[in-house]
Formats: sequence, structure tokens, C-alpha cells
Amino acid sequence: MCQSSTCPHCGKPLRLSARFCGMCGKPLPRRAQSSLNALKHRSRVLGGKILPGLISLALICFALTIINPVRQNLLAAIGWDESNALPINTATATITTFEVRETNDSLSTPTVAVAPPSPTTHAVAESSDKSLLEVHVIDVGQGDSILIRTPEGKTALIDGGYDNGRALAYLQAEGVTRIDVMVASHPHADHIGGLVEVLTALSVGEVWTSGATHTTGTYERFLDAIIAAKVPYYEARRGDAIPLGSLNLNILHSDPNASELNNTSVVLRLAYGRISFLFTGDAEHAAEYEMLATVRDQLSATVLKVAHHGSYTSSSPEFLAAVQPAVAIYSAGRDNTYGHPHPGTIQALRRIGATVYGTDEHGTIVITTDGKNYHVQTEYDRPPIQAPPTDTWHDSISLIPGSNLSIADRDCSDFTTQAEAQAFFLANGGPGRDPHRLDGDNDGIACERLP
Amino acid sequence: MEESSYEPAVIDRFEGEYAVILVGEMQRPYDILRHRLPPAAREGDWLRIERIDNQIITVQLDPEATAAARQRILSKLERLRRGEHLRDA
Repeated sequence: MCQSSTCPHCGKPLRLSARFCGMCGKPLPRRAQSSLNALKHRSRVLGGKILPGLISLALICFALTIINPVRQNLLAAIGWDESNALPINTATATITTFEVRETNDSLSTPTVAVAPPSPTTHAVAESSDKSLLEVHVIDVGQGDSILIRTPEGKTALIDGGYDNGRALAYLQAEGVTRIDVMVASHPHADHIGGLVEVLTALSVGEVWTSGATHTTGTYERFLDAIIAAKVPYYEARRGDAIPLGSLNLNILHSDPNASELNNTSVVLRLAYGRISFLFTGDAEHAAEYEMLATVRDQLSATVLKVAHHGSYTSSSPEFLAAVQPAVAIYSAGRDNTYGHPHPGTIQALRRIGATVYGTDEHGTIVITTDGKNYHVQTEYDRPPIQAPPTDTWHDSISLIPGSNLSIADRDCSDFTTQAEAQAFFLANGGPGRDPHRLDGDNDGIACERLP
Repeated sequence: MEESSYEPAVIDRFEGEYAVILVGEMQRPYDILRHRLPPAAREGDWLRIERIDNQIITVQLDPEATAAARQRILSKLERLRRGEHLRDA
């Protein structure tokens, strides 16, 4: 605790919960704060004191073992066939969250039934029910890697994290020997590095990119691996549909000419029955505004893979309002240097009612769906991510690099477009903060009157 | 005191106040504060870094290396776009 009361970089005294130093602006080690926050969380959940909390937990666990038949009746009552849910092929994951939602459509507010965590590890190798779609957000450390398995057994891999072997190891542990469709959202090393290893070790049917290029050795190796494996190479355009068995990966964005590589990201939507997924790569505000202008009516999704590791550069309120996710999942490395995910992003996701999971806290996250219901399974048994209390991140937001809080107060006339004002608004804390009062009506949209 | 050594690196991306550079043949990622790079440095620029152990002492842009990488990569990409790699023996 004493260590976290001064900045390790410049020695300035800090609040215990600060994530960035108020003096030098450098991010602070997260370990101390996250254990502190975890402690706060537990004491809140279990009634304010640790010891009674532990006793309550033991009692709850005991009660859950007794009420298991009741749980099954509850699930049956809301239409969930448990044979759909289990068994699921999870060599590494323990079922720690079991969440069922009755979804009449993805935009309605679903009835939520949360069943108790199952204490069992299901080591069954194959799913007996072939009607299930699985989406695995793989814990690859800092980076993105997402495996999709369709009911027909087709596989897609969106990104592969760094070349640290983790994506490939996960696929091998899952018994995946072939990737039918590989998508590189954009050419940054934390997305394509691991794809090189997969291309080298497994059979790959086709590779899709936006066509954006890079000059790094990692990107060149990616091209070399496609050439060596003789895999057909395609470049996606908005409006394309990449077939994956009888399902489609619909391309909502893919812009090789965007000025920053993150905004070249291939953004895909996958729908299975009433359940849908939106995979956003590292798309930032500029790409989000383009999608809002062109494909707004196609953005809604039950599950959102949060863009750019939960960074403040992405997940604008308008974009989230169009997606309306019930579940939001980001991928970020534990204790990463960049402060991912940013607290404002978590708050924005919570504000629209999404249940938030992150690979830094939950490990690999697997969503399984029969097209009507879905459930979320996490490697580590932890509660969903909550927005940190606002007073703990005011300091960090004002010091987000590139933001200009030190400058004089701004008003809407300082911006030429709404998008520009919005980006500034978000970079300075977004809804709930708004030190420049750009969002007078508090609807999350700054300077509505600008073009 | 250890002697310094020079190594090639390339800017993979910027993340807030950090640049992520990929160092050496292994393209090992390394976070460096953005202000330690030359002001003109952009995503995709190759660099020559001087370091002692794990500490980066100086960073210089290497425009020739950037141009060479770009040209090499574009010619590989053209092969892929035309599907030539599928026809090769």
C-alpha cells in the first residue's frame, strides 16, 4: 500500500486508486490497485467485512449444491435446454459463469437468469450437440485472437495476438487442426504475429485482410507464411460476405487507405439465429463514424468484441448505442503498459447495459449459442467488470496522452465538426466528466449542432 | 561499463504516449516513450537503436531501411494479390 502512495516514476504522492500519475502522467503499476479494487468489490458484495463475507460464501456454496435441481427447473422454465449447454469442448476453460438470456430479439431487454457457477470442469472432448456456435476470445496477453467454430464444424480465426505461441497452443489444445477462414483485422504485430505461427503449423483455407500494408518484419513474415503455405489471399470490402459453412462473416468496414492502421481494421458481423457478434479489430472513432454513416442499421449485436483493447480511442457512445450489446468483451494483457482498458470505455459499456468481460481478468472467454440463447464461460471465476468509481479515474483521464486538458476551456465553437468535438469530449473523460461542458444535455453526444 | 550495440527496429504502432517498436531479427516488441523518438517518426519507420543491455540510448531514423522494406513487401503483396504463390511449383 505504501508503494502505491507515491509515483514510482517521479515520486509524487498519489491517491491509492489512481491509474496514472497526476504529475508525470505515467501509468502506475496496476497490481496494487487491482488487488485493492478486488478487495473493495468483495467487501461490497458480501456485506462490508471480509470474515463474514467468507462465511457467507461458504454458506452460498453449500446452498447451491442443495438447490441444483431447482436451478434445472428454473432453466427449463425459461426455455433453456441444458443439453444444449453442456458438454462443451473446453480443454482449458472451467465453466465459471453460466448466464442465460431469453432473447426475443437482440434489441429487447432480455429477461436474465443467472445460474450459479458450476464447480465442474467438463473434460468431454466433443460437443454432442452439433447445433452450437462457439466464439472463443482467447487470452493471448496483450493482443487479439478470436476463434469461431460453427455448428457444421467450420472454423474461423480473427487475429492471432503476438508471435508468443499462445493462440496456436490454444487451438491445438482445442483440437483444431484446420482454420477455414483466417482474418487479419489489420497489420499490427499484436494481431498478426500469432497468425504466422498458425499458418506454419495448421492447414488454413483462406486469408482475408483489408489490404492495408505495413513495413515491419512481423508483417513481412505474415506474407511469407501465406506464400509458403500457398493459401489463397483475399482483400475484403464493405458489403462482402465471407462464407463460413452456411453462415456468413459480413464485412461492415475494411479501409486499406485509412490514415492510421487501426482504422483500416476489418470489422465483421456474424449472426446465428437471433444471436449476433460484432468483431471490431482496433477500429477507432473515425472508423466508427464511417460505419454509423454507412451501415448503422447493421451494427446491432448481442456480443461486441470491444475495439482496440478497450482503449479511449474507440467505443464512442453513438457507436455503442447503435450496437446495443448485451455482452461486451475486450482483450488486453494483464498489467499492460497502455492502461487498456480505459475506465471511460468500461463506464460507457456499463452505461448502455452491457455485461463486460476482459481477458485480463477472466482469461479466455467462450460464448456458446444455439441461435436462441447463449451462455458465457470464463477461464477464471471472477465477477463481470464494473466501471471503477468515477473519483478514481478523473486524474487518469485528464492525463491521457494526447488529450489537452491543460489548455484553456474549450467550447463547441472551437471545433469545425461534431466528430472532432466528440473525439475531444471522449479523450477528456466523455460522459460523466465533460470538464469543457460540450455535452449540455448529458446524452453522451458533444456539440450536436456542429456538422 | 558495457559497450553499446546498434540494432535495427521498426515502429509497429503508437499506443497513447508510447510507441511499440519491434527490435532486431526476432521483432521483439519494446515499449518506448514517444518523445524519445525523432519527432518525424511515423508508424512503419525503420530505426537504428543504440542500446546498452536493455536500455535504449539513442534512436535514429533509417529511411533507406524503410524504403527497402516497403519495396520488398509490396512486391510480395503483388504476388499474393495475383495468386502467383498458388501456381508456383
